[in-house]
Amino acid sequence: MNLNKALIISLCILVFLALITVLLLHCTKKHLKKYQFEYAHANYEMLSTHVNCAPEIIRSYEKVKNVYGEKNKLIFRYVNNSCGSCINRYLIEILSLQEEIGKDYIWIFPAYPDDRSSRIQLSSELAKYNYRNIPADSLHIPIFIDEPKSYFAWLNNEGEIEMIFMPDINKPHYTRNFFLEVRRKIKMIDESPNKFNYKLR
Amino acid sequence: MNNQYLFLLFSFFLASCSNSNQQILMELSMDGECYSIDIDGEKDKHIPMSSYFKNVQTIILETNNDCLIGFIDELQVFDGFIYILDQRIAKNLYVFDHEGRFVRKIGSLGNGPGEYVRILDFTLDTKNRNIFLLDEMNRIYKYKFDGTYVHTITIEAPNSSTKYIQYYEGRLYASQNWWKKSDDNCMLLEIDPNNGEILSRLVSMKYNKNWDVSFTSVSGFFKSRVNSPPRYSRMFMDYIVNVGEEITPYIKLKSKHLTTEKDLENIGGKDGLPLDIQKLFSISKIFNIHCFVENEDYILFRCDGMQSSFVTTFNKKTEEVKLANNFNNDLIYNHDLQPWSGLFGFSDSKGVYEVLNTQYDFFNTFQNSIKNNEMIPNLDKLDQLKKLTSDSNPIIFFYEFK
Repeated sequence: MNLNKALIISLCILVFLALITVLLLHCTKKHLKKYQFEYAHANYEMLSTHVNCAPEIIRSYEKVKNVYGEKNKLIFRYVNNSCGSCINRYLIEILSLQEEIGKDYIWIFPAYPDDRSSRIQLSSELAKYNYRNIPADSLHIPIFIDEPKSYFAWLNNEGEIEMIFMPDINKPHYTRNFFLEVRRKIKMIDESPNKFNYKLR
Repeated sequence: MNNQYLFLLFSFFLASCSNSNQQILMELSMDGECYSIDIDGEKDKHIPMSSYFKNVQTIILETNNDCLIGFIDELQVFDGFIYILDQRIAKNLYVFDHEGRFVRKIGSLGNGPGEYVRILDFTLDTKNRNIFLLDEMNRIYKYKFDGTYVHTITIEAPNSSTKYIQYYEGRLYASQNWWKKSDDNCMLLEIDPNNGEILSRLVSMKYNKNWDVSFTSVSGFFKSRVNSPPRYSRMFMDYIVNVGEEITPYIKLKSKHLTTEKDLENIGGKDGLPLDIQKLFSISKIFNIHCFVENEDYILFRCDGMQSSFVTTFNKKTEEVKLANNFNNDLIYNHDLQPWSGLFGFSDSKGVYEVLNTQYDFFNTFQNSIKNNEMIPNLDKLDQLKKLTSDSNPIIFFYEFK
């Protein structure tokens, strides 16, 4: 009798657990669908932003790529009146990446006026990075909807720009994904520097 | 037995909920000395600085790549060393000696241990030779005078940010700005410097016309910072108070033109909405005290308001008040038309320190004055001053009290 009771109770618990699991799965699927939609939508928004800005960035770099000759580098460019806490956040993430891949693969190109205050500020804020101040009038920061955009870009082994990325402080996972791609490129360079030669399509 | 456990549990619950350590001091204690300074009197054109100071010494700060300063935001002096905070450009704290030679930098920018994001203020524990740096993330970093990092504490005060700090007699006092209106908002938090625990909440916002949001101030709220006790005042307060276990009035300002709560509402400041500073200057009301310096005989400060600013001097012994549009810096200039004077940054018992930042128009005008022989001929280090450029570090003038 006691054994029957125990069996019945166990069966009830199992059925109950199964119901809970089905319910949870259903909610997760719903949430996932919603997330996928939002993700796709956000990706689309980001892409359209990049599509609008990218040609301007590329044209800007055409002017200076032969002057500075940076190759196989991750660059980060921002303007002095950008959101300070956002820039600080990005610099922290760049520092983490830098500790992993080495300082030589990263260059920071702020767009500050060429004056004493800027020189002091940048030497203090960017002491841990390779950097060079390029005022906006010599390497134009793209303006999109009247708003300067900071951006990352990868310079390939011919100094050509590719993989432009404009970070969003509210979407740090995009930046992480972008850095994953940077790591992949550097790994390929380290393993076989001449194997790949990416061209802009 | 079960009842005993329940009782213990209940007592424990009550104890954990209690907040008896955080007192709200609603009323300032009116006992003891409090100077009353009437700032409505007639104003002279100038007050000569030679009335209060016997000489001026020029401190030319060394300029090299290790100690480039863009702007001096805060300056304190102790034991022959000058502590200089450049908050907005270099974002570092530097130490120089009284000859202007660079000694060291305290901490550095970054996110590692002992590194800060942006320093807002600093304070000195002169007895134990510690420096406390306030970071904009509500963190306080403690260093020794020799620059050794000790530890970091965090101020856990939701819905607020700390703008200024002051160390006094084993306690840190933090001046707070609040993002949400509440009757519990207070001007000062008393903090344990060892662990960041909030010990007391001090001074009701009613003494500040209930203005508790962030607002640009021309100077920090703590004054006479190495005095015992230090003083405290913020915009729209009618008092300058003593900082310590008990907050007591030190100075009560008397004037028909002090800003009222109604004035703030009329110029858009109700419920913490953005206040138009142009409108503040357009009404004939006094709203801020700054450049506050004192010794055992005198108190000197500037008032903002009445559509400009004016200077006030107060004799502690005779309680005589003198008001003027400006100081006449007859210790530096040989004429009345001076571009800048009396923007004092710090005082101790020996004298007062004034900063001339080299990046701005004041400095250009100063250099023109040198070229035009408008300085007194025996001004300290005049030859070196002639060679300075806008690339040089700021200059400090030390006025020795009579």
